[in-house]
Amino acid sequence: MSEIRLPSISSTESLLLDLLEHRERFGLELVDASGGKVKRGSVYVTLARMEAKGFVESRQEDRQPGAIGLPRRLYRATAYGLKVRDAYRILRDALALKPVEAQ
Amino acid sequence: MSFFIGRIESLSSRFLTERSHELIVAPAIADLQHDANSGNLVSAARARASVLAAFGGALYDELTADASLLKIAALILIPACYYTFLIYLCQPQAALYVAANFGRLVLPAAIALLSIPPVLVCCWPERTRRRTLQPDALRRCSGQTADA
Repeated sequence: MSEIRLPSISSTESLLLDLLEHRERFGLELVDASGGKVKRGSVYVTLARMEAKGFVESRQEDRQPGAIGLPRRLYRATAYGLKVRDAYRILRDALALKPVEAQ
Repeated sequence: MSFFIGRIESLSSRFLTERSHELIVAPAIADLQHDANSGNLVSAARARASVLAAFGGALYDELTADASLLKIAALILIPACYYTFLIYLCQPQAALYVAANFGRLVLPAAIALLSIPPVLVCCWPERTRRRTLQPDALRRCSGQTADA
């Protein structure tokens, strides 16, 4: 019988999904909105891992004519990512209960 | 600025896959250019540091994702063992002198410096591609216009 491989989600990834739940954001916006919990040097590494897991999607920003530099990247949460986050939240809450409370 | 971005681009094209570049390094470079345009020197310096951190993170991801790259770790051990034996066994007095006068970490750091970069440069798998930063984007980043 093949084993089902469950997705894993870290607290940082969960936080980023919270921030991306309602709208698209740039990486720097996420750093600012996280209140220092997500560092500027690691945000794109984390987002790339999340994209590989299917938790977020990204696209390049729409450029206006004459815009300077490389286009930045916009991120948004996927339905799958939010589902995994919610599932882990329920699991964590359930496991946090003492056996007496759970009955 | 364009020199720094150019260096990161060339390192990225040598050591990273297209995907790692597009998803990790390129957005960090875009942020760096964004900060440079805002004219804030402190945030531009932080943006440079974050580009380097993003590059390091992408490199780490490449190492852990590609099992064949683990052989590089084994290859690093060969020169590291050679230099360690050469210094600590053949010249223990010199090793003690350096440790006493310059610090305990100097020799291990020197051994790491002699062992890691040559292996990375020589044995890192070739990344086929690709993209280079658009010359126009580099020119604009350095403050020149296409017309100039």
